Parts: sequence; structure tokens; C-alpha cells
Amino acid sequence: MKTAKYKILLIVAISFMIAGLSSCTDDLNTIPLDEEELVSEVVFGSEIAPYQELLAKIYAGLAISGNSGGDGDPDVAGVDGGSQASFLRGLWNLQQLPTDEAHCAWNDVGIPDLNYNTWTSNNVFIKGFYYRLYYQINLVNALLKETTEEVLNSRGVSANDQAEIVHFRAEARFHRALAYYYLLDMFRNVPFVNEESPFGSTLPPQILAADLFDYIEKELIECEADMLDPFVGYNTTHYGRAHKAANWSLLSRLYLNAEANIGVKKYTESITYSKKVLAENYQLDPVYANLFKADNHNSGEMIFPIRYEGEDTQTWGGMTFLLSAMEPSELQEEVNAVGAWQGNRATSALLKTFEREYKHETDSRFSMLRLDYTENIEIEDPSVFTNNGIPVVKYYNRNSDGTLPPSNIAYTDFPLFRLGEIYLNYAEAVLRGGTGGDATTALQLVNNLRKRAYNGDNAATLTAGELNLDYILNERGREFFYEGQRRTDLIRFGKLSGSTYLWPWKGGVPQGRSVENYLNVFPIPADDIGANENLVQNTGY
Amino acid sequence: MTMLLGILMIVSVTAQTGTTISVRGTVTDIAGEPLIGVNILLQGTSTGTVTDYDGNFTLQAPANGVLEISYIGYKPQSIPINNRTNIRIVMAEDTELLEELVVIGYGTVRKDDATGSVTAVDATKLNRGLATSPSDLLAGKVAGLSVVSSGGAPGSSSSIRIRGGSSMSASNEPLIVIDGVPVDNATGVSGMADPLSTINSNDIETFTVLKDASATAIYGSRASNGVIIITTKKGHSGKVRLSYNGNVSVSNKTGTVDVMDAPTFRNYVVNSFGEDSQQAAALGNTETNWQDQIFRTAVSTDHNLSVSGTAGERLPYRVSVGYTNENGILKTSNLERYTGSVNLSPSFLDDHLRVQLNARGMYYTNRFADQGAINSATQFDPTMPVYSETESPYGNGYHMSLKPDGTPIDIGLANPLAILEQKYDKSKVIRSIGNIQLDYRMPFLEELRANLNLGYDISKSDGDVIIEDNSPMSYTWGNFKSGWGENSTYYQYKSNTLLDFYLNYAKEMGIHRFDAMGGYSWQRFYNESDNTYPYSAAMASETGNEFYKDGNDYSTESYVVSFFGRLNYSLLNRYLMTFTLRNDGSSRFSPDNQWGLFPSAAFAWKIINEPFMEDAGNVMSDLKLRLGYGVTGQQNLGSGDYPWMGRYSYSQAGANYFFGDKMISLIRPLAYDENLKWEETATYNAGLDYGFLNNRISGAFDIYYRKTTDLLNTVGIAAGTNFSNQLLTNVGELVNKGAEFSITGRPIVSKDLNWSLNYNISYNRNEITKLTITDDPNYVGVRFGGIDGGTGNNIAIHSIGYPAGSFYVYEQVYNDEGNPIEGVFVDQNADGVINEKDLIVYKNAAPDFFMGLSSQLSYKNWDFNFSLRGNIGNYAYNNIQSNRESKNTTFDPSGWLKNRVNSATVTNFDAVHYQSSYYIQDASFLKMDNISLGYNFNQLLNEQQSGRVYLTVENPLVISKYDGLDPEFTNNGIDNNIYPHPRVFILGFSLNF
Repeated sequence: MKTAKYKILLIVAISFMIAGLSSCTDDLNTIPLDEEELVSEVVFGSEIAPYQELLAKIYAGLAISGNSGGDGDPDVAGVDGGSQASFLRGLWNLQQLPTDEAHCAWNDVGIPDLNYNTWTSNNVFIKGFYYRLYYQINLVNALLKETTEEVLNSRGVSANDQAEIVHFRAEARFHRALAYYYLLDMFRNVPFVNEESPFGSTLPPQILAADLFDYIEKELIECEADMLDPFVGYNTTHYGRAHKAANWSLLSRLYLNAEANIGVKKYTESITYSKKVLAENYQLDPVYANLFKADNHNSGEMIFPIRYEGEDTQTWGGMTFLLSAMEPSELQEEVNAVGAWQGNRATSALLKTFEREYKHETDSRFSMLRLDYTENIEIEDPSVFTNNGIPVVKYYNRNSDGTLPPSNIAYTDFPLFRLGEIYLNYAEAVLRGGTGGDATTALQLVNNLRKRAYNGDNAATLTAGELNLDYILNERGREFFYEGQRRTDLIRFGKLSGSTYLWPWKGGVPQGRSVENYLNVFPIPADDIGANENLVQNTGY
Repeated sequence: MTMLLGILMIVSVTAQTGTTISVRGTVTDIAGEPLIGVNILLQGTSTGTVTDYDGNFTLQAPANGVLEISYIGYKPQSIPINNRTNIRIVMAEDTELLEELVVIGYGTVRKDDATGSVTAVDATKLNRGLATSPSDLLAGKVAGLSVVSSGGAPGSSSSIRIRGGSSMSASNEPLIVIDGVPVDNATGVSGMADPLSTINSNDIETFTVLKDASATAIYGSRASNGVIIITTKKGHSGKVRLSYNGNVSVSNKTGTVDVMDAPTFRNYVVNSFGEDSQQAAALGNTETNWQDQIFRTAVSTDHNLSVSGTAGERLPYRVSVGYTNENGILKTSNLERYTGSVNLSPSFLDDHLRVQLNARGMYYTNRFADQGAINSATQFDPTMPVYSETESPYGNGYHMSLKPDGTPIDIGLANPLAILEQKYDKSKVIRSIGNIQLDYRMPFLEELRANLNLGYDISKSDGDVIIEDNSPMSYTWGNFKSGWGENSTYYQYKSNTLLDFYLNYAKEMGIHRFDAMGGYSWQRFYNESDNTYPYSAAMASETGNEFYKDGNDYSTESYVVSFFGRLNYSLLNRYLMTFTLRNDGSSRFSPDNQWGLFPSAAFAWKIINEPFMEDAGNVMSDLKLRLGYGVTGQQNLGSGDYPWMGRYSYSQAGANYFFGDKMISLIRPLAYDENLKWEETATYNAGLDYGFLNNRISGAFDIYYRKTTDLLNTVGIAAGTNFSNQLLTNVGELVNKGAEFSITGRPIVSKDLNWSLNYNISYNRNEITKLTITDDPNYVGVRFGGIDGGTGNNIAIHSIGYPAGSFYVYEQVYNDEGNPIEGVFVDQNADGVINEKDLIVYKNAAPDFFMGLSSQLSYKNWDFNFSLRGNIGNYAYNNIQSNRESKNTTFDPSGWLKNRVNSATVTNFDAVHYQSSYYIQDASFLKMDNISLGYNFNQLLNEQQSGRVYLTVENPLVISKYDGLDPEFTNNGIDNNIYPHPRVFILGFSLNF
């Protein structure tokens, strides 16, 4: 009897325990205790601030390299934050060093190969820029996933905020299209992900250039309507954000380069979008040099900037690099830069580009080539800065009236899209046979651009017969030198590779030599070829 | 029918044995105390009984039968009845058998029946000396167990490895279980370097080391690195025993780093740079031996008092208190510790309910001496004085390197003595570990037992690091270098609570014996910490701010919930089988990945019990073959408690963007792998236990193969798939293979002279077999191991095909005399250039073989013991030498000199060559850990007391080819800043009454 009682007790005890056990296993589903440990449930709620902060991170990805000042906590792993993971510095290095315009004296790993067009798929600068572009794309995909209408409704975001977030989404798509544009231009056939791609271990497929072009075009056209209306000059609420004119400018550039990138002529479309920008109130800045000064945020020519505001956007790449890497040490104070690293200078080819003009000494753009600071316009010793080539001082961390900004940390914004480019895009597209524009307007635009450069002097004016495609290439050289466009331009004119255009140290030889055509496209970094078996490397690498 | 059978049985019984009589008797121990529960069995039958509370028994047995008396802990006896109706039986304690009961996970097992690779060490027999930490007691005692102390600082931790590490980036420390409570020792307690030092070594009864997976798999996802089970001393029946252990010790340094003295250095500078050079002009004009300035002879003491007995005949108890005050040989380093423990082990309900209550507490204060003082002392210019000879307002009177204008050079070395005297790094820790265990044997079913264990481990620590304002360090260390000390305070609270429950059913049916156990365990780990960065009071009033930097606080928790079971089966006491299964859930992983199944199976064959071994019984006393397989996990990944969750982080100062006038801070998603899971190790083990001459010689031999899969590594991943191009994910594989051999023998056993020896030797080879998702020939491995000198130089690498943590260097070329030719390295790929492609994976800090020998000799009242330990095949990177040999770096351009090692004139390097294989040196050693002489006396005032006086020397002798100060240290084999092991002379006294 006693035994039976014990047995029943035992059974009851065990059943209680089993019931208790299941509640204990729930303990395994923990969420972080610390409020500062931010999981997405905690970060994104009904307030608009976090969504805006994520959007700001996408913008900041063009300006700085990491999540703390001075490139600390970099966004791209395995490369140097300041020099290799910076969008602007990477863009400059990849677009300028392989060309006739610039040559870098430093021996940092990867730099000489960029100077001489001898890079391989292991080049760190190519790797850093590639992963920077994908970093941007990943952030955009994340933001789009967190801001769909259902998700916002489920979090109780107000209707007003949701309307604002619609703009955020459009701007994010613009940024993604921008990143893919650079990928198309530099790498052609790349892995493709969008907000619907699975996150984690599924390997992205490789998209072909033509399909990527179509995607970029479609994205830009679709998101345009939800972007902010264009504004000219500084806007206390929105300056820095991408608006419709930025969208049109990107399309104008995209279409202009379509033949070079995918072999399809899209010059008419380029003109269409150039005209949309021209219809707005943008004005050429009366003084060319002011476009590159600390208060260029006031310029009526600025369409889409990469903003720098001193110690709040601190990096060793970006504008700091543009301010510090190129001037001789005597000019550091005038430029108001944090350093005078003396690395990049121009080859004599840039001088020749100017010398082709009539009365080039009057060209204010020419005055940025500091022949007064070099005794030898030719680069005899590639690893020495002084007296080996021509220093170019274009960017100043000083206001247009000569006054200083709050500190010597960069305040000068970088003009990623400006009106001057639209003028030349229009003219070139017309000359290449695009319809929707006319030769007279083209000539007028070019002359306006030149008159600004010549400060109104009539020596600038061209006749219709003088304006041809070769002239356009040279004019682009004179207008956009050191703005990160040269490589794309040379490729479009078929002058980067081959022997039709040689410049000092092209291919690693003092007088220049022909380089192979496959170098018009950068290699997909070896790291990604190794990690993603879906990818086929670009020819020649 | 039954009646017939019954009669037949009775007839057969009586026919066999003659008349049946009623036998009664009493069983007592040597002291005359009755023994309860002694088994009395009639030989050849299954008739038997047990003794009652008074040691009495009654049994119906044939007059010429034989009684077999057996009782755990006592020598069994066979007693012929010889027609006696009253038999007095006296049983003698079998000390050998006592040792043979080993504690395993969730239970105990007779050593005879152990199927896994398990080694038990009787802590009471170990030479305690000054060991503040229990882990030091184990060094060299167990095959396969390597204990490397991280240095000679008081309370310094040890790196414990069982059979090589099973991981690369996750924890390699074994699981430590104290009285059934698994202790979280992978993440330390702030302010307390060695978490095991909570336990006073005097309180430890046994250590059991579980080495192979068939023994450890019962601990599932924390068991990949082996398990060490510690049990503490309990109360005992009988009269009260009082025991006191105390000692006083004196420690000294064993040697100094061979740097130049002042005259030699002066000559060196003048000869290298010229008498009129700026280097010679920077020389001082005194003579200082900086290493002598920072070291001292230290006196320490340790006392422990324990009382044990049985209160009121029902409550066995043991209470102990201890006090330790240990001073280190590096000036200002000190540890003071108070410990107390209570153990109660009463039993109720007719011994059906056994209760064990253990609680121990510790209060501990520590002043840490910054080991940077050693680094500075071996580089500081020996021609400079200790105290400033100018009236410099900087440095609080200590000599500092100054610019010509008298202001401090911010990249200078800090004065070594000032580092010790002007920095106060103090901590205070309170910790308590305890548990209550209820073991209930079901009265209706004696074979069924239920066990409930509730345990806790709580610690609270706080400390601060204060650097005096205007001290030399305030100008040369930290982020500000502005003449005020960058202080910090920290606080940490950790709590770990446990609930264990299991049912155990043991049944013996003739030749079959089986034991089944099933249970449940729940454990919670909680950790909260708080750091602040205050100015000193003077600076606070000057700046108006209390803090110079934002503090941070953090709290985190994790849970482990498991279901486990074990089945032991033994046939004929010859064939043993064990199966265990544990289903472990950890909160550290995503809900899809939380649970893991960890099985194990083991088989043992007690060859000695086979009939064909009976003849060998005179020579062989034990022969057992063991085979085991098991899978264990490692969930201490070292990436926090929520590594699988997608998280965001806000940007810090300097990273923002602007929309219009408004500055917006940034928020960034972090790359994460939601499929992150524990690392898993599968182990195969085969072993042989042997014994000769009645176990006068005994030991074991084991060979094993362990493979770890899902090793964590940060690898490059496909662009576009995550928020970074690198991700920490489970991707690698690692293999450990090895063998262990141990032998314990008693060459001399006699009344007056007894000698026992224990020798063990282990071999382990570790190799990484996979590190990346796909095979990438360009991937060299994971570089790590920062060194002193230059910036960002890493000397070690985890590389495929080599042991984890090998060195990665250029291969030096030597001339005919064996001296290195500066700057000339082997061009591995013959491409004419020496660059990163010519680095090779070379040698390793882990030894190929390690062995231990301990000897205990006693003659009458004297005893003489020593322990030796040796490592063979371990290499070290001599960073002390590599950073003090080049001529070019003797003078820092900002105007001060750095001392060189004497070998600089032999090596003759002009430039630094940190990554040369010349500095990877053989650090194999033979070390005597301790040697002691003691005298035992059996009466002081009367026979009730016994005691021992002893003199021990710790670390008397090291034999090694290695040029550095000490061939044994952790830090991945990189010798820089090591706090050297002192030589300690201990005079001790223990008294029992």
C-alpha cells in the first residue's frame, strides 16, 4: 500500500517536472539585455529617426570610410580604411592614375600597378572600391526591406513619416543605381543582388552587362517620381540629398556611355535627360575655381555633392585626400589642408591638353597646373614628387572670398554631378548622332562653358567647325581634370588602351606604350572569384 | 509439483552443505566502530544480508559454509563459518580501493568499471607548497593534461589544455565542475586573474580529469576541451578533527634578461655611432640596473584551519577558513585572500535521503603590478638615473626623457620604477560557489535513486586603475598624453545558477549489472559590467568634468538547457559498455540551431577477469582494454552571448552626414551569420589500463584521434550577401592526434622505507585541415599575434596543414659559422624578390611531447618528494631579443637611447628584422617544479596530535637551451613582458588533532 502511494507521488512529481521543463526550454530564446545592443526589433520602430540614420549611412558611404572618425571601424574589411575603402579616394585612384592626367609617386602596395596599367585581380585598391560599392548596395537592400509599406504599418509609423520615408526609398534606389553604374562602368559583369535576394549564404548570380544596364535604367526611371524636386544652390533642409536632377544627370551619363559599356547607342536618351536638367535653374558658377572651394555648397552649378563638414565627417580618404595628396608643401597653408603628402602630380600630357587651346594662359583652369612649383614637367623619377611632373592644385579648403572655414579638416564638398558635365554630355551626344538636340545649342553650351573658364574673354569662343568629337575629349580633359572622370572618357573615345594615344609612363615605360584592350575593364577581385563560384572572371585576367 | 521441487531443493541444499545453523555476528572496523550496511554473502549462493545500525547480522547458513564479507572502502574477506554461531569480523580499510572510486559526470563509478579515459588525482597527496591556484597542483601529474602558468604574478591564471586545444578562436579551456556546479571559467572575472583560485587548495579532495569524449560527452556542448571535476573535502564520522596548515615563504627572481650594463652600453653606443655623434651625446652618466630596481625579494604567508567531524552523530560537517598574503617579486604586486567553506553532509530517513550542502566564499584583494615595467626595464637606458637629477617639474621626481626645451617626449619609455609605484591597479573580489544536493533512494525500490542538485556561483568585483597625474606615464601612455592620468574603474557582477536533476536505476542480476541514468539540467549565466573613466580629483576640479570619456555598461545572459542519459551495462564483470546521450540547448544560437545531440559509446574489456588470465594473477593484477567514441561541442565562441543576431551600431564622433543644416549620426548593420552554431569535436579513443604485482606497478596507455568541425573563422564571403565582405562563420576543421602513457610504481615498500614514483608522457599533434568555404590556393591563413616593435606586425598564423598558432616568418640564411646574415632570407618561390610570398609557416609554441615525473620517498618519519616536468619540441619567439638587437633602433630620433641585449654584438644586425626565423628559438625544457623535505611527528602533547614540518623549494631548477628568461609561458609563444616565475623557499607546518 505504501509502495503504491509512493508510486503515485512519483508519477505526479514527474509530470509536474515535465510541465516545468517546457517553460524552462523557452529560456533559450533570449534577446539582448542591454538596451544598447541594438537588434533590428529594437532599432526600428515607429520613429523616423533610425530610418533617416540608415539613409544617412548610405550617403556617408560616399564620403567617409567607417563608423567612427578617422576611418575607425571601417565598413570594408581586410583593406586599409582610409586609403582603400574610401569611395571618393578609390574613385579618384581608379579613374585618374591609369590615365594621362595623373601619376602617383608613392610605392604603396597596388599604386604602381595603377599608374602603369599592370594591375591584377589581387590589387588592393580595386578590391577596396569593389567591396565599397557592394557595401552601399547591401545597405540599400536592407533599408528597402525595413521600409516596405507593410513593415512600416506593422510598426505604427505615422502617415506623415511614411510619406517622408517614400523619399528615402527613392533616394536609396538612386544610390543603388549609382553603385551599379560604377560597377557596370568598371567591372561589367558582376554579381547581382537586390532587396529580394536571400541574405546569407546563397551565392549571387553573375549578371551580364546588358542586363545590368537595363536594370539601372529601369530603377532610375521608376524611382524618379518619388525623389525630391530639384533645388539650386544651398537648401537648409535638403542640401546633400539626391533629387530628380541628380537622377537625370546620372541617366545622362549612363546613356552617354552605353555604347562603350554595352555596345548599344543611347545618345538620344542621353540628350532627353540632359535637357531635363537644363530646363531647371542651374547656372554655371561664374568663377571656375569656386566650384572647388569650401563654400561650394552655395554654387548654382552643384547638382549632387558629396558633403564634407570638417571634424564631423572625418576621414583620411575622401576630400582630405584630394586636399592633401597633391600640393607641394609650400602650398599646404594656402590650401588649408591637414597635410601635404606630395604624392600625385600630372604628366606632361595634361599640359599638352591645355596647350592645344588658343590663348590657353587665359584659361583659369590652366592656372591650376602649378608650373611655378616644378622645374621639370617630365617625370624622370616616378617615385619622386618634386620636380618630376606638374603639381595640380584644384581643391582648396578655403572659402571663395579667401576666408577660412572653422578648421583645416575638409569642408569642401565634392561635386559628383555638376552642370558643366551636362553641357558637355549634351554636346557630345549631339555630335555622336543623338536626336532631340541641335548643333546650335550644343555649340552655345560649350562656348558658355569655355567663356566661364576664360572669365569672359572672347578667345574662348569656338566656331561650329571647330567643335568635333576630338575637341570634346580635350575639352573634357580641361574641364574635368582630377574630378574622377578621365578613365571613363578615354575609354569612350577608345584612347585608354591601344597605341592611338600614348602618354608618359603609360604601360610602365617613360614614353608610354600601347596597353591591351582588356584593361578597359577592371578584374573582379580574386577574393570574390574565390568566394563565389557563380562568377566568371573578366577576359584577360 | 511445487512441493516436490521444494523438497528437492532443501534436500539438495542440505546434501551440499550439511546442517544449517543460524549464524550471527558483528562487523566492526579496526577502531571497533560498527560498520553499517556491510554485505554478507554466502559463498556460492545468492543468499545474503547486510549489517544493521549496530553492525549486527543474522544469517541462516550451513555450518561449513563460507561467508563473503564486502564493503566499499574496506578489504573484502572470506570467512569460513566453521560451525560458529557468533562471529566477530573486523574489517581493514583498503586505501587502494578508496582511491578507485572516481567521480564522473553526474555520478561516480569504480575505477575498475570506468570505460572512458579518466584519471583521478588524490589532492591530499599532492605537494601543496605555495600553490594559490589549484591548477598549479595538477601540472605534470596527468598524462595529456598540460598546465602552463601565465607567469609568476600572484594569482596569475594558468592555461589548461587537455589533449591539445580543439579550437582556433573559441575557448580552449576545459570545463571545470566544482562539486557538481559547472563553473564559467572561460570568461574571467574582472580583477581576478585566475578564477580557480576561489578554492583554497587545502579544501580539495580529488581532481578527476575526463579526457575522451566517451567520458565528457555527458556534458555536451561545453565538453570539447575535456572536463576537470573537483570535489571538496567533506565531514566524516568519528571524532572531531582539527587540522592546521600554514607556511611562510620567500620568493626571489631566478635570473634577469641579459641586457647590457651601463659601461658595456656606453662602449656600444660610442663604437657604433662615434664619440661625437648625437647618440653618444644622449648618454647619461650614471649606472642603473633597471631590473634590480623593479624586482624584490618577497615574503608571503598562507594559513588554513579546518574542523571536521560529526555533530550530534547525525551531521557530518567540515568547516575551514584560510588566509593568504602573497607578495610578488615585481615590486608592489600583492594578493590577499580570505577563504571560508562549510560542508554539511547529513543523511535522513534511514540513510535514504542524503543531503550535501557545500558553500565556499572568498574575499580577495589584489594589487596588480604592470608588467610593462619589465618591458621598460629591459629597454631603459642603463646610463640614466632612477630619479630625476634636474629640477624638472615633469614626472613626479622620476627620471624621464625630455626634449631640449625640457618638456616630455611623448613617445619615450616610461620610467620602470614609476610604472610600479605611480600606478595603482587594485581590485576587490567577493565570490561564492555553493550547492545543495539531495540524493534520495526510493524506499519502495531500492535500486532507484533520484538526485537533485541546486548550485550557484556568484561573484562581485570592482577595481580601479589609477595613474598619478604628472607621472611619467601620464605623458607617454594613453590617448591624451597631457600630464594627467587616464584612470578607469570597473565593476562586474556575475551570477551562474544551476539546477540538475537525474534518476538513476542500478540493478544487478547475476552476471548482468546495469545502471541507467536520465536527467535534466538548466543553467543560467548572467554578467553585468560597468566601466567609467574618471579624472583624478585635481583634474576634475580644474576641468569641471568628472569624466574624460563616456563610460559604458553592459549586461548579458545566456542559458543552457539539457536532457541527458547514460546506460552502463556490465556482463560477468568482464565486458562493460557505456552509452551516453545529451541533448543540449544553448541560448547563444538562433532558434533553428539551438539544440545539438551529443552521443557517445564506450566498450571496455576487463581482460584481467577472464578465466584465461587466472594464472597470470600473480604477476598481472589489472588489464583492461577501453574503446570509446563520442561527440562533444564547444559553445564558448568568444563572440558574446548573441552572436547570431543581426545588430546595428551607432556611429561614433567624427562619422556623420548632413542633410541641409542638420547633422545626422549614422547607423550601421553589422554582418552576422544567423546559422552560427557551436564547434563540434568527435573523438576516438583506445586505451589499456594495466597493473602488475598486485597493482604495485600500474598505469595506462591511451591513443586518440579528435576531429573538430564547424571551426569558427572569419573568412571572405561573396560580395552582396552580407553587411561586410568578411564574416565569422563555422567553416574550418582541426585534427588532434596523440598518445599518452603513464606509470605509477612503488619500487620500495617496507615498514620504514617507502618510495613511489609516477611518470607520465604525452604526445599530441595538432593540425588545421580546413579554414575557408572553398579551397583557395591564395589563402595563407589567419595572421595574428602582435609583437612588440613596429606597428601591426603579426608573427603567428593559423594555416591549413599546420598546427594552430604556428609562427609565420622569413627563413633566415646563416653563414658558415652559424651566424645569421643580415637581411638575407631564403627566396622560397625563387622569383628574385623577398616579399610576403616568401614567408613560411615555421615551428609552434605547443610541445610535441610533455612529461612529468614525481617521486615520493619516506623513511621512518622523514619524507622527501620532488616533481619534474619537461616539454620537448616547443618553440618561442624571442621578442625581447628581436626588439633589442638592431643598431639602428638604439637611438630614437626624438632624442633618447634604448638599451640593447648583450647578444646584439654577436648577432650584429643593423636594422630590425622582426620576422626572421632566427628569433624562433627552441624552448624545450626540463624543470623541477618543487622539491621538499618533511618530518612527520605523531605526537606533540599526546598521541592525539600528528603533524609535519617541511621545507620546500619551488622552481629550483630549469634546464633549457632557450636564451630568454623563462622557457615556459602562455601568450602564444611570444616572449615579451613575461612576469618571470620566482624561486620560492617555503617553510611550512601542519598539525592535525
